[in-house]
Amino acid sequence: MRSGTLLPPVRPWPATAAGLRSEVREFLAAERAAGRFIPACDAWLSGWDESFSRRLGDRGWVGMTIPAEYGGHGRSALERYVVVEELLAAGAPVAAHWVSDRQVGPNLLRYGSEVLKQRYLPAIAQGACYFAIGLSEPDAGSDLAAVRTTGTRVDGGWTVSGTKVWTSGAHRAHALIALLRTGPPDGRQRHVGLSQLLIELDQPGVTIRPIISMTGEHHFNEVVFGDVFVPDEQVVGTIGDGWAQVTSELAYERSGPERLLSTFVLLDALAGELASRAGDADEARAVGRVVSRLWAGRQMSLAVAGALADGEAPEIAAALVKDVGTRLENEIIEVARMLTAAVPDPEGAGMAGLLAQAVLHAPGFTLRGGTNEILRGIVARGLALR
Amino acid sequence: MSAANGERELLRQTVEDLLAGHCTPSRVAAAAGSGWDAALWRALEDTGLTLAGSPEEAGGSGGDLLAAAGIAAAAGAAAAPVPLAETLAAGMLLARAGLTIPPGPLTVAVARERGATLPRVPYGRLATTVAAGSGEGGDWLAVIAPTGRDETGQSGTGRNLAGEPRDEVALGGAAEVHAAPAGTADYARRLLRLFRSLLIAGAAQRTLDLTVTYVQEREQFGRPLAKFPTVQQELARMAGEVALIAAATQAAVAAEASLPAEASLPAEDGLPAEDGLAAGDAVSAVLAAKAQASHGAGIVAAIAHQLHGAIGTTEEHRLRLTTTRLWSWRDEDGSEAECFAELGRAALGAATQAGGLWPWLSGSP
Repeated sequence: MRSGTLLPPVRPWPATAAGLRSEVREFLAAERAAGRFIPACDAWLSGWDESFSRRLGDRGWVGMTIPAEYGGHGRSALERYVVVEELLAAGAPVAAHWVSDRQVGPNLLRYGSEVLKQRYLPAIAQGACYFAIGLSEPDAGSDLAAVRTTGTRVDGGWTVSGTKVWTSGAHRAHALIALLRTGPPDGRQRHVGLSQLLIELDQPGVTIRPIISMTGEHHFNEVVFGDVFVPDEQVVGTIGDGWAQVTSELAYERSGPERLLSTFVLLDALAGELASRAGDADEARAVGRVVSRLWAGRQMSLAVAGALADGEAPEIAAALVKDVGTRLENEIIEVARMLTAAVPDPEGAGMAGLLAQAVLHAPGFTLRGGTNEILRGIVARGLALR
Repeated sequence: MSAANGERELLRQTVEDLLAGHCTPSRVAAAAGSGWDAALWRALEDTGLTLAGSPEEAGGSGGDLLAAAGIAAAAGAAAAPVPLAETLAAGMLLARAGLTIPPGPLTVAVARERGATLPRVPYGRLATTVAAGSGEGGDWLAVIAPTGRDETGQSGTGRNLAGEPRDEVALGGAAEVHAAPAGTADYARRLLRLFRSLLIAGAAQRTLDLTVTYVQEREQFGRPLAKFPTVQQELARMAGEVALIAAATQAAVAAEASLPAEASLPAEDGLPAEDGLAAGDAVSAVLAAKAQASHGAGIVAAIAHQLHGAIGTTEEHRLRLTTTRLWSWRDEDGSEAECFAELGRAALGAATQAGGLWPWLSGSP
């Protein structure tokens, strides 16, 4: 029996990491000082700021791993990790370019045709092209293979009809990549016959309706496709390989620093408040508990990031990062509630406002990107198959 | 794979094979009376595994901290009834202080003062105790002969939940006391925590492996337990803790190893950090690792027993070999309560600096 195989080995940081980190911190300090953003919880979902995205793009911090020939910067995945975790830890408004940067860029690089790469990658790297995710449907949530949106073969392309839901930012995004059915399942093999199409959202036949969150905010949408024509050149990868392509994309979606840091600014504010008064050992212990877990979870996330960068597919470890990390994001809220006198107030500044954001966003942490229950099922099956 | 990685992989395989050969459930159970397996110890000594991580000039068998760490984790997984991790740590401690490593099993303790009696020293009856302390005259190391007996004339003063000897050792007249470089006592404290965390990491992984195997073999309601979603959920929760412990200990080893040799005894506030996990504040890294290892140990043991059902609680079942160790080791060399508090104070100290918590937490001020 072999021990210690749950986690890939940690790769060393690239030599450029320290300098890059300082640059990002300086930039963020200047942005804050100029009042261009206020740190917020879960800002990678709620902080839509296109000019901020473009300023990041100007500095080469969006689409970093995209090669120069496609307008990117040819940086390594770990260099991107440095930038992204600095942005997240600062609670910066990165929602606009988030999906493009995290998964559309890598997905197109891996599976996209030359036409698609040339059409989208340069704008993504400029921080000027925004994508939504077209996975969930009204009757396909955790059971993703149950998607019913269809692509029907027509001359020169596909006619798409169906409905996607929970598409964050679709009302502002330029396009989405949809998982849809282009062929029948093979008996009980429902993963057969699925494909990915890149669909422009500003065109006839696409109807986008808001789904307002309980915070009152508008992030989510229902996107209805009514016989929308999608030309062949907008097919991502290979017709029929959609399931495998989506699965590999999800490893990026599940293991990144955003699965740990959605409530970090709340923890930071809490630590600031506690540090300013003489606390007791119970306070220190509670802070130490979440801090040690965050520190360890970050090492897990980094281990997976390194493995992904080297072309490995650490599916179990990626799922574990999301399960452990998102539960920690919730635990931070509970620790903060226990130690501060502030109460959540959506209109409030400081702790009160951060608590309000965190509490109302918290249910999403363990739902998005695959519910934690589904992920734990993946882990358990993976362990049994090792 | 680099040459160094290849060598470590070979070493890991050697250690695991040797331990697997010796640490059969019956052998480990048979050693429970004394906590000591003499044949295993001889085999480990013969292959030089007991002093990996210490330079040959000092009497060690060479290799680095990463090599020693791999051996310690393997010892934890095998529930090896010998003070292997303790000896590795003691060797490194002596070597860094420029002292020669005495033969035989060794163990490490940190003393409050020179006249102190050291409580619950691992294997104090059988191993030479290397006690570290600091006082007005600077740091020092005392080398104290085994307090005697066993095999199994017993003696010693106590044991832990797994039956491992935990003995009172007097820092009295018989001890040789050597002056040691500044920071030696802190280094000893870090080594204790780090090696205890590694033992836990190994034992936690093995406990998970045993549980995965069990739920696939055991059938109820006509199918293996592994097929039940409720069982799967618990198994995954357990795996999350095991992975956290693995990540934390791996990173703590890297942080400690990244301290340059001449400065491996950092001042109170640590060395100027480089970027990333292989640097930063080794003190906090080791503290965080022990905190997570101790915290996770209890969760792992509890889920393992729940999924094994009643059979796992018996003396004849091997699950207890690792779970009783997890329950013991989590309280030794700093419980999570102690580590949480110490780390929390460090975090709150960092929070008063410019940039708040993040520069400190990311190891990159």
